[in-house]
Amino acid sequence: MTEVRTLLQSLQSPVEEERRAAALDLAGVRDPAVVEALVELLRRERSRPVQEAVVAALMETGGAPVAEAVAGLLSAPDPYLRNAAVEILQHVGREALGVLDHLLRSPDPDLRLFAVHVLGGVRFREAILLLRRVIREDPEVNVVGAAVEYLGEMGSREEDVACLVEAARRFPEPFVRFAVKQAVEKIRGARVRGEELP
Amino acid sequence: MTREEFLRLRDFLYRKTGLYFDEKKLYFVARRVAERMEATGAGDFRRYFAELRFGPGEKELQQLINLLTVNETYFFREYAQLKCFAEEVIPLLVGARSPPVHLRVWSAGCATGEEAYTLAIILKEMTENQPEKVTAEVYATDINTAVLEVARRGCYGARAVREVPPQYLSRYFAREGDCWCVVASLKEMVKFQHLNLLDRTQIRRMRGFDAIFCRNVLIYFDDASRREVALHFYDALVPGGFIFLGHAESMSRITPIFKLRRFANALIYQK
Repeated sequence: MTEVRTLLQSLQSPVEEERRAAALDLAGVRDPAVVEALVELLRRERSRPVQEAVVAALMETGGAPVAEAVAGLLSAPDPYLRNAAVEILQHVGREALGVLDHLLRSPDPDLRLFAVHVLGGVRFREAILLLRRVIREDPEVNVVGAAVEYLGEMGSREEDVACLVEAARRFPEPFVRFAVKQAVEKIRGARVRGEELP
Repeated sequence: MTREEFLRLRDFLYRKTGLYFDEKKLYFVARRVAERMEATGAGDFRRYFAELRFGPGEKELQQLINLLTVNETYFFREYAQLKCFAEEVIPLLVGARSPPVHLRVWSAGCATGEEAYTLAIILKEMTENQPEKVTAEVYATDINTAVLEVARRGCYGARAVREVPPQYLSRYFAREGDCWCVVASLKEMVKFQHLNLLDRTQIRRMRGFDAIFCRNVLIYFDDASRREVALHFYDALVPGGFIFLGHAESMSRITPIFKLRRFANALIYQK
C-alpha cells in the first residue's frame, strides 16, 4: 500500500523518467484511485513517452473501471488521447461492453463512431450484435458506414447479410451501397451482382 | 481461396498488422492459409477466418503471420539498412562525441546470431583504423536458449554466409568442413544473453545503447506487448539513439515516441 502511495506521488514528479517508471510500475493495480490518477496524468501530460507508459499501464490493468475512466477521453480535443482511448477500450475487450453500449446510445455521433471503431477491433462475437444494432438503428450515415465495413470482416451468417442489405435500403448514398456490396462479398466469399442489392 | 476470401483476409491483416499483400500474392497467401487450415482442422475458409479473427490470444493469427513473413536468417540481410548503419549512423554517433567513444549496439531477438556477428563485422570495419578513439561491443539477446547455443558456437552453413563480401569471409570466418566458423576476435565483441523482452526486471539492466536492431521480431508480439517492448527500447537507448526494424515493420504503428529519420540508404527511427 505504501509502495502504491509512493508511486502515485511519483506520477507528480517533475522528472519525466520518474513519472514514466511510476506509471509502468502501477500497471496491473486495479485500484480505482490508481486508475483515476493514471487517466488524469494521461490527460494533462505533455511528454509523449510518459503518456505511452500510461497507456501501456492502463492496458495491462484492464477491466471495467479502466473502460469507464478512459471513455471520457473519447471527447478530448487531442486526437492522440482519443486514439489512445480507442486502443485501450479494444484491449479491455468484453469488460468494456457496458461502456460501449452506453456510448452507442450517445446523442453525439462522434462518440458513437468511436464506439464502432472500438467494436471493429475487438475479438469477441458479442460485438457483432452491437454492430448489427448500429446498422439497423443509427441515423448517422458515417456511423453506419463504419459499422458496415466491420461487419463485413466479422460477420459470417445470412443474418449479417440481411442486416447489411437493410443498410443499403436505408441509405441511398453510393458509398454505403459500395461498402455493403464489399461486406456481403467478404461474408459470402463470392462476388455479388448489383441486382442482388436494393 | 476465392478472390473475395483473399480480400477479406488481406484487409483484416492490413488493418491489424500493417502487412499488405496485393492481389498478385493471392496464390502465395492461399498456399499458406491452406497449410494452416490443414494444421488446425478448419474445414473451410469461413471457419478458419473465424478462428483467426476471434480465436483466444491471437494464437492462430500469430501462426499465420509467422508463415507469411518467414524469412531465412543470414549474414548481411537487408543490406541497404546495414549500409545505412555503417556509412551514415556510425559516423554520426562517433562524430557527436569526443573520443574515446565506446559504441554499444543491441541485437534484440538475435536468434542464431547472424545479425549480431554481422553488426560486429561492420563495427570492426568502420572503427578499426582508430582503435584508441573508438571501441564497440554488441549485446545479442533471445528468449530461446537453444538458438543462443547455436549463436555462441558461431558455425554456419554456406547458405547463411552467401551474402558476406569475400574479403570479410576470409577475414572473419574459418572454414571447418562444410561450416564457416566465426573467428575468436569477432566472438569477443559479441555478448550473447538470455532475455525475455517483456521481463521488466531483466530489461531494466539493458541501458546506454547507441543502436538497437530488432528486425522482424516485434511481429511476433500482440499490440499491447509490442508497445511495451518499444517503451523498453526507448529506455535502453541513449538520447539520439537509433532503432532498426525490419523493412516491413513500422514503429509509427506501435508508438509515436520515436522520430522517423530519413537517411540516404534507409529510414530509421530515432529517440
